[in-house]
Amino acid sequence: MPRINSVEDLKKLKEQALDKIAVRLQGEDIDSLTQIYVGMDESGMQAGAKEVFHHIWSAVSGKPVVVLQTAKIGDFKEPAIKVVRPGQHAATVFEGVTIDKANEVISEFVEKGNPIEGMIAATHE
Amino acid sequence: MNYKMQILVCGGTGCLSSESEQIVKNLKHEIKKNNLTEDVRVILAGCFGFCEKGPIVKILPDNTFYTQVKPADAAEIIERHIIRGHKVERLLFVEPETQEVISDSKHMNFYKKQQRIALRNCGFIDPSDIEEYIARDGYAALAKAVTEMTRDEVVAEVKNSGLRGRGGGGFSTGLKWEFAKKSVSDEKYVICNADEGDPGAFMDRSILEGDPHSIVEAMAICGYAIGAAEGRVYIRAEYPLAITRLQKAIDDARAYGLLGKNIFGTDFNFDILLSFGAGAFVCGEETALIHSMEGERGEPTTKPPFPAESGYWGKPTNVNNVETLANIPVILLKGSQWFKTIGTEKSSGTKVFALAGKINNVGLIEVPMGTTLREVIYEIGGGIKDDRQFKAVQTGGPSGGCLTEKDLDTPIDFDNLITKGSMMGSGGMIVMDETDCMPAVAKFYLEFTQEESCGKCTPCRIGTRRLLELLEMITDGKAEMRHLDELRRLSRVICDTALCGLGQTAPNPVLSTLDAFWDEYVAHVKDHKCPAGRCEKLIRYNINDKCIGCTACARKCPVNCITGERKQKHEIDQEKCIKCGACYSACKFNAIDKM
Repeated sequence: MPRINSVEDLKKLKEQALDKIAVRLQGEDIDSLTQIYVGMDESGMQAGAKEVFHHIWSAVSGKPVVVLQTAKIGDFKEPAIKVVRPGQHAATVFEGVTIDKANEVISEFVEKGNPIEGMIAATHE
Repeated sequence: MNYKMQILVCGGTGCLSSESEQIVKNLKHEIKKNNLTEDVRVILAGCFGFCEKGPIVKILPDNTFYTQVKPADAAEIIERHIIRGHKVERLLFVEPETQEVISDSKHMNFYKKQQRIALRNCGFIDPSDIEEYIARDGYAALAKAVTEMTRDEVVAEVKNSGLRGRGGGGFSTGLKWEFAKKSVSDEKYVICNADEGDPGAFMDRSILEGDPHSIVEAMAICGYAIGAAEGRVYIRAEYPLAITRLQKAIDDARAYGLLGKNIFGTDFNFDILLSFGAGAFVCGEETALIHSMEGERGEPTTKPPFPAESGYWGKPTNVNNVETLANIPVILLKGSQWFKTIGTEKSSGTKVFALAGKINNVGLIEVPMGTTLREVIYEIGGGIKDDRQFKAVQTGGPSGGCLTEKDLDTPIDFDNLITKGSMMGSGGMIVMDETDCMPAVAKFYLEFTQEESCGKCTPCRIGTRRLLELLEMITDGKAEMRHLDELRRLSRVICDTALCGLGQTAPNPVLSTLDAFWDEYVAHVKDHKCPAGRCEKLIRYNINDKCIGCTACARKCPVNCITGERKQKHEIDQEKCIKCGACYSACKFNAIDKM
């Protein structure tokens, strides 16, 4: 058990402890984060949505992005993901997402805002 | 470990009594069964406040808010929501007015107008984990106080915030601290008054159960500010969960060096012990509380001297209630100016209320001072149950009064409620509808205060007994008009002459209902009728011509006072009738009139 002897000790412990509540903080600030939805229904799971979800989750760790599971995103080739920018109703869907494609979506589209191949305009309720 | 999803389950007393611990066990079992232990964590959190819809389960990060969850729902939540991303529709909240299905609590009317300062961590952190509290800036205010601020600066910051005592009195917290600081003594004490006694109130209990470290931190800040090295929490023994969690918080704070010697490497020493109360309402009064802690009878003494000069063991003592203290760390971190932007000019900040009675959304709420009663009752509270007519709202518990329709647009703050004949009290708010009898309501509160009177002073010991007798005569239909005058006169005498706050405010429910519902009192006295149909001795049950002689009423009557041939109209023997209402409930043909 760490003993706190100074303000610096407290700050250090706070930084470590933030991991424990990170998911809850994301939920609290969800409207100010980019949201990536991964379709996890039966067909999505069979096409590898679970692996895509876990990969994206690790890849965006520490970034202002929240990864969420959802049921079927729409009539798209699975696995499908949907990206929603903070405060927007417009969304962008990517279908048939592989690990490589997921990396491209994160690094180019989400982080830099660059258009990439395979973007499908959609709406988010 | 970095979890991808977290499930918060309400661990408030209400939800616990509806098996929320079993829900946690079942969720953990399902998580293990589905090999999700590295991805999903379940936490028994503090109270979410929405007790009407408990047990509450919240999934994060998507903020899905499930209501009235049962242990048997755990498998479906894991299978459908956690694994496949489908929301379990049948567990989602439906807004009563619009029938809209809402999955995120921040869009619910119950939460929209709330602002959580004292309850900031309740329902968000694991109250048994000090590190979760630290992750939410816990103990940062204490660190700031002892390493960056002088004692005078801490007192000034609290004073400038305009924070007033949330336990009932509404006295300036900063001034109290200043008095205690200025008192010269080798020893001083900080006492947290956790003797929450109002019927139906559970504000302090929820804070202690859901965020105990906020109280530990605030007491240490107060200790630094006034120059005390010891703190005591006077907590009623009927709060076992609050005691367990608070004791764990104190033990953990000690182990982390946040209580004890040389806190944050400075020369400031502070520690906290618990003292248990036996549940006497009068021990919420600070001098009675101190006597109880000293092992004496829980009786108040005259002030001055105030505890700030001569309190626990005759030493300068600062007494604050739980909710008051819960605001302190936030005020120090965000500043008094920020705090003053919330609420009204003379009542800054927020107030926690236990919303109860004939209202759709029963629960614990925290709203900025200045919010109107109408907003609380109709927007947050969702209006009156069963679409009945609003009649009154009792604020301030047994010490408060009843406010009526004309007061609904009154902004809630300490001074407005007193002007209207009630008071803030510690935050009990009981809503009544057209079926509530106001003399009976006044009698209920008098029964409570009369029972809880410590007996030390005559006006309270005998006066409340006489008031109760008068109210019993009224609700029994045995009073005369002169008794109403006597009721008012005696109430005023008690207010003026009782020794402590309990006696001085005990007649408030009588006076406020006499003012607002005079006609109802007169109906009891002159007409021997209870307009709300609640006073048993003034009720008559009569069988009307709709009776088909089914005999259902006669079979249900416990005293066999209903007679009649089968398929013939029956009759009630009024001499024998005990007014239990069993016949009224049993009749399917509206053939029994309640008069």
